[in-house]
Amino acid sequence: MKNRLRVLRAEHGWSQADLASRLEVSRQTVNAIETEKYEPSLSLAFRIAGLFGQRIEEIFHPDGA
Amino acid sequence: MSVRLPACRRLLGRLLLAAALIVAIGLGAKWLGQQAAVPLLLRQAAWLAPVLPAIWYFRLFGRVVRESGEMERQIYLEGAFFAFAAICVVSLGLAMAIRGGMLADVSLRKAGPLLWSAGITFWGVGTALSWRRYL
Repeated sequence: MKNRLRVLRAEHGWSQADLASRLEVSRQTVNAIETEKYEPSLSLAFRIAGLFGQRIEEIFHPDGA
Repeated sequence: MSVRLPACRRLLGRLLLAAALIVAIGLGAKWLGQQAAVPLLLRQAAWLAPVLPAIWYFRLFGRVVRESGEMERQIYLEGAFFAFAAICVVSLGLAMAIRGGMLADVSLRKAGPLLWSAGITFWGVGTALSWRRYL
């Protein structure tokens, strides 16, 4: 699963720790999502989308899509 | 912005206390069990006493897993599966080696604490391996 989390975070000028505390997850979780080593649950994906004011499919894309 | 401490850090003190209680009560039970002057019923109760802090320990352990973040929870559970699989393989191997006469038979009294310690060690190894995959 590809995602634009790193780009969106950079646009807001947030560090991984800032984003992690806004999402109430660990900094390692944010890093693992950005490096595409971990796929978030649906509820976390909704929280990420809500935080950036976008739809889930605008942030997360299936591989090859 | 306040950040809630991870469950493993918040509960670490209580986990260590529970582990220390298991050891202390176990040693106390061993001493009491050797006192012939103590009534048999009391000695038998003392031998079973370490089970109570062990139950507390694993309840806390479960709480650490439940209250962790979603990725950490996945890592802890992958570690637990690794430990379960490793204990199954090791105990099967030892059982077959005993049946084949390559090892002397051992009682549960001796093998139990070894398997218990190995389970925790394997969980630590499995969790570390799983962390490497995500970081």
